[in-house]
Amino acid sequence: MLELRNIVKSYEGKQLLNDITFTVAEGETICLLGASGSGKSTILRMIAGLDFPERGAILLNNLDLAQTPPHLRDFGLVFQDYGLFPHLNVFDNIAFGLRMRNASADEIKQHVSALLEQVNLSGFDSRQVTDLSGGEQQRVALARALAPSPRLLMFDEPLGALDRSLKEDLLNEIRSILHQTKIPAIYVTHDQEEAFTIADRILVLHEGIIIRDGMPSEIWKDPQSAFVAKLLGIGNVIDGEVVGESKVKTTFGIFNLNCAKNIGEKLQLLLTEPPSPSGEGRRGEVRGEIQLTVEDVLFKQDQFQVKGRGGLVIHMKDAPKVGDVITVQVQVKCLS
Amino acid sequence: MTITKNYFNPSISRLILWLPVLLFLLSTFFFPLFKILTLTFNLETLTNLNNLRITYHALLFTFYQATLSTLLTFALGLPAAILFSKFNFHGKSLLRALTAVPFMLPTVVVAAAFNSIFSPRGLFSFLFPSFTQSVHPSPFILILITHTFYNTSIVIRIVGNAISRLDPKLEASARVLGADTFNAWKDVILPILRPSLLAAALLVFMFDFTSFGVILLLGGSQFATLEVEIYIRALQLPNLNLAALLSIIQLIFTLIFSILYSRTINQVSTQTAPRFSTAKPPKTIQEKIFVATLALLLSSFFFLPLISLPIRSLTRLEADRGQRAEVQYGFTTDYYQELFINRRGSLFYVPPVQAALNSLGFAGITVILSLALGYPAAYALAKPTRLEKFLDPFLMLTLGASAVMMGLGFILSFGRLIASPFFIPIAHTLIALPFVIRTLQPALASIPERLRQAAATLGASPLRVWQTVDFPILSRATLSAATFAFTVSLGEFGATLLITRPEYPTIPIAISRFLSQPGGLNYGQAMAMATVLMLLTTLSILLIEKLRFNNAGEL
Repeated sequence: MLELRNIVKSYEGKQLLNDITFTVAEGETICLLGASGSGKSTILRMIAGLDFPERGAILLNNLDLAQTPPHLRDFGLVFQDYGLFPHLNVFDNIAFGLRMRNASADEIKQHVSALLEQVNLSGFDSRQVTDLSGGEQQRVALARALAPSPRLLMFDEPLGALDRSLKEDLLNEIRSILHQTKIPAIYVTHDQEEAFTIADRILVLHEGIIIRDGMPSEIWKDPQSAFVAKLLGIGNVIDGEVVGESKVKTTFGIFNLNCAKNIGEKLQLLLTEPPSPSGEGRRGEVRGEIQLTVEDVLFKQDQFQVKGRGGLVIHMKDAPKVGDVITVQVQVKCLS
Repeated sequence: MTITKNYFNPSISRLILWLPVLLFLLSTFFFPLFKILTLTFNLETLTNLNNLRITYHALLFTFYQATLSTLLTFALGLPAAILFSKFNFHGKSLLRALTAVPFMLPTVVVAAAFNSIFSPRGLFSFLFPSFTQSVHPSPFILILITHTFYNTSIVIRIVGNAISRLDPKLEASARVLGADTFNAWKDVILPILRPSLLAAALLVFMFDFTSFGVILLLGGSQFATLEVEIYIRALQLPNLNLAALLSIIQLIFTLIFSILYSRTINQVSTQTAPRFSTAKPPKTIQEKIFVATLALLLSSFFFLPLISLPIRSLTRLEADRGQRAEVQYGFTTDYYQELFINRRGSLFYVPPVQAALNSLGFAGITVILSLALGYPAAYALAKPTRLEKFLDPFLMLTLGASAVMMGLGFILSFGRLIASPFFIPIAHTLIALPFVIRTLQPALASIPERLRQAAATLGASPLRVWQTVDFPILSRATLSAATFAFTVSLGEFGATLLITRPEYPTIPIAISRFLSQPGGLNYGQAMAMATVLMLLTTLSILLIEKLRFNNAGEL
């Protein structure tokens, strides 16, 4: 449906986006994940037509959008700080897009009250948007974006300004609305929890390119690079050095790994707890045992988070004592 | 709990603080105002058809010129506001400062400066003799241009700030929701900017409405605005009843505008502040042309008068005495030297430089008087109680009265006493006082009581507390307020014109007299004195800017 082809964009003389290519399918929610300043918002602005790529093309159903001004694109955009019109009340904010499309007064009235119900703000019609709480404002912004039935919805860190419990509620609402309406969506965030909750597919943006593109479960199982593993908080990333044919030395011992690197080269490894004690290791993975000196133990609902020497974090059913040396089953694999 | 409360009954000590300023205002403002009111509201004044006819015409003309001036000011000010809020370019802050200079310059200086360019004796007609004969700017056009010169910075400040505070996401949201550029402006940007546009328009209109010096000096008394008509009916064709009526009408309108202004400026809220400045260097060709053209236009418009004045004051442009046939031109310091000579048959009984000495003397007295009166009031206002909230509007009421009206009030109230030169600094103090108080008050309010308490618990006597805590914080604000009073007094024209005697001319009075006389020498001396006044004022402005109260005393 939407396709970005080889988008290049620089910001203040520096290359921001290097070669961005991805597609969004009908009814699909993709999540664009990256550190702040990585150019996520710029991608959204270009899709919306508010900014222009230096090279590359943005296509909707195989039609190039380069000549289509933002107001004819029929996309919705939701900002982190809402961007509500301060001089209009809740009703008029939501009705704005419908009015621009010359909808009749009746139609607008019906549509807006249906939307208010959908975002749990029934009865808020004549409230001033400046008097609303952050969560309420974001609901209005969501309803406003939904009102003209856009062909694509874009969210630019929509929950960044909200506190935790509100975040979860609203995230679930957005999720269910996206499922109901089947509007394809691009959701930009730097929060991996949000990404895993809402996305059908996750794209990780790093240094101007998409370094990982896959379903949440795929990426969780195999982050492939140290950056993705760290960004998404998957397992432990540890340093290693190739010391011989299929031998990698780490502070936790030597592992038999074939990382296709020459002897003496440094590399990073992903160290995780095995999913089940007896399961087969996947390709490129080895299992092993390490000795870990416990430095800290944190209670985490149904298990204990154990921090050990070297910053390693593992999870256990029973709490060891600080200072204990424990034996832990791990699996290790090479990262690029 | 304040320390002073232990020494005085608070309400009595507050009344003592208020006493000097209240007595002063009562005798120099409210009593004259009462006099004007009694003259206005009597049967004779209000039933005289001639009075009403003149009032009607003056009012009509005042609205007419103020409307045109405001429109012209916006024609230049709006693009300038966009320029300063949306674009970054070389010399931006310098150009911005330049546009704000006229606002502080005395009317006589600005009038003389435009005179030095566009009048028949000015540089423009000398440089382009054939051009000016065909399209000589009429005095009326000149008045409009000068008002624009004065007030453009208001539009730049109020509207420009609103534009730069505008969240760029709002336009983006509107565009994405289906608004084209026109609709985004019509339905989103303009409605949000409306309070600031309205506030700027009201303020500019109010200044144009009450303009006096510019109109009298560039146009003459045939351009009878309310202000000019008050002056004419007070001095030239005396009809004090009519003058009183005119000034009350003027006061009513000024108060209406002030109330409307303060209402709209309150709506100019900080609703949507972007975290970063939205100003960017111009990118497209159209943007570059816009920025370059406008920056050039603004810099020449605001710089030319300021440079033309000193140039003209050093340029001989007329036939020398006894050599009528040939126009001489070249560099000369004659006009400055002439200021020190008391010529027989000159305009004054004293050498013109005496006017400068008078001005400095009056300004000195104004500084002392306004600080002496302003300090206690500012002390009381720094910690307002119900008393202060009640009295503050009366203090600020003086801002609503025009200088010409104050002069008229003095004439009506003090009669022959006015021959005493001491009334001039009193009038100047009356004008400067609100500004002095408004400068001192925030500085006084900013001194945290904790600091005083800390000093006291460490063993400082009340005097030592004042010496070690209050004084260091206040000295800057005091100097700033003093400079302000000094500048106001140096440049004051309207009130002085009404109450001055020929023996005690001030610089602005001397300039206006020189300008109204024929002859190159008189004109040159006007230019020279205006240049001196401009330099003095500019130095004062720079000093005030340097001393600008910047959160001193904040912990």
